[in-house]
Amino acid sequence: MTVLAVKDLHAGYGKSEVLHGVSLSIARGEIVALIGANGAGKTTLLKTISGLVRPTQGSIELEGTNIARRAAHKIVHMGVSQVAEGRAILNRMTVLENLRMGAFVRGDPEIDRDIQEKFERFPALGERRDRLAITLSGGEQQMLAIARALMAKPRLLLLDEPSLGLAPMVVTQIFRTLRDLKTEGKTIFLVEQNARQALRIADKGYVLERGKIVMEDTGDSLLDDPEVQRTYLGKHAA
Amino acid sequence: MIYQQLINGLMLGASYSLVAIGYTLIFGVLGLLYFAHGEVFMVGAFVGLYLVIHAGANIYMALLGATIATACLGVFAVFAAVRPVSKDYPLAPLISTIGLTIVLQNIATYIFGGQTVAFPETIESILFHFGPVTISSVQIFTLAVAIVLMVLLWLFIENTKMGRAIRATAENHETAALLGVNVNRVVLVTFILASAIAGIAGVLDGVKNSAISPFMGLQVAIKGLVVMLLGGLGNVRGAMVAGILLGMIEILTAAYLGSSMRDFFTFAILILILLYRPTGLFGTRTIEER
Repeated sequence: MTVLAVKDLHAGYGKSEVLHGVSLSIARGEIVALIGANGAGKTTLLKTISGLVRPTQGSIELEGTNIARRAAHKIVHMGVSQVAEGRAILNRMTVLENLRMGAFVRGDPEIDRDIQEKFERFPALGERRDRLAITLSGGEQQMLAIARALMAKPRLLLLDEPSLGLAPMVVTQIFRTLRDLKTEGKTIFLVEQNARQALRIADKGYVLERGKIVMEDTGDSLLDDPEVQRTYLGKHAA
Repeated sequence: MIYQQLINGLMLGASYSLVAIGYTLIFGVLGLLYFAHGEVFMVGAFVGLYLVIHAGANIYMALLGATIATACLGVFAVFAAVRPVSKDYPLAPLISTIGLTIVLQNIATYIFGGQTVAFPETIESILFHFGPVTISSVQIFTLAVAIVLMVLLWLFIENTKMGRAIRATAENHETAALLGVNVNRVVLVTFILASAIAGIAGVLDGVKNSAISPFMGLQVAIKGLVVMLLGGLGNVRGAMVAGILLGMIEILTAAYLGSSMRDFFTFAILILILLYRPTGLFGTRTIEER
């Protein structure tokens, strides 16, 4: 079943269009990776899906409902959570308060239990629950951002370059977490410059170039594709 | 003598704190220096006065009426001067709220005249003597209201869902929106809160000083601004403490160095803060961090 279907999406800032008709689809329980160079429009695509950027044309359907042009906070209420680029945690709140903010769209009594569950999954966060988020290391902040997004119990989790600027060991840990989430049935749309790691865990991958999807295939096939290898994996043809 | 002055400073400071809290709340969520805030204070005082004089209201009714009136004024400010102006020009809401200041001041002058008006006695004035210190019932009442208000606001900001939404919005609008916070609504609630508090502060000021004027807003606005900078932009707790601090400094200067030195010290402190401690005494953040 399709969770998200983007069709012929055009979007940009003011008069400059960044996305020139992007189409893609994400099925339930899949990890879909989007790779592309700097300036290809990856972040703009995510921001358009989450409602921060208004599309000029095209549709974004979440389980059949068109969410294009809705306000960002409403889209969160409908079940799309985004881990923004650069670990957009709330610096002046504690780890615990950040997680509570993650559950902002929920009103059920099980929030506290879910927070406990996040502390079990990410023990480093549990140990620092009353510390201000700004005092955490980069890796811990990214874990917090992911844990916070999960607190909303989203139908679809969007991640914008979760490995950016992190040590290799931490990156490995984050990709392991994403794979665990998939095993638990979560649907994930992952935007990454770290193409190799992203495509390895992805069921399906898209390549975005200058605002257009230029390739679409399974993660493994894209890893083997000579064009992708040359441009995004740094391998040179012998 | 010194104890009496410290008490007087506390009284003056508490009203500075109330005004500065509103400034700092609005600066927090919008990054906007809300110029009309002093005028909201003035409107609160006049609504209180009219309720007392023409409707025979007691002090509680006057406070309630002023709260409602200034809360509505907060809503009006958002729809008239904040939302319609483009977010692409950071200075636009500053200019439009300066416009609102002028409009409110002129309406007040038109309705109430340009003179200082006496505020009738609404609380029976009883003097209490504690050793060398004398406190009036009016002072105790105004201080109690101010402190209760600050404690309630603090609990609201720290412990409620809306309070957390306000703090999240103050850190970053996009981040807050991506967590499901309706940023527009948070801005509206913030204006309502800040304006209602300023309205109450206006009535308390009238009760305490028994005189109000349509031009009282400017003085208050400037003091509130100094307190906000002293406490750290967007820092509610900082504004509470810094208000009381400034009140004490002003009263002590007036008592020991002469009242002409009062504003001199206030603005000397402002300049020193801007030069050496631009994040405020309690070091929160700079404007660039937004």
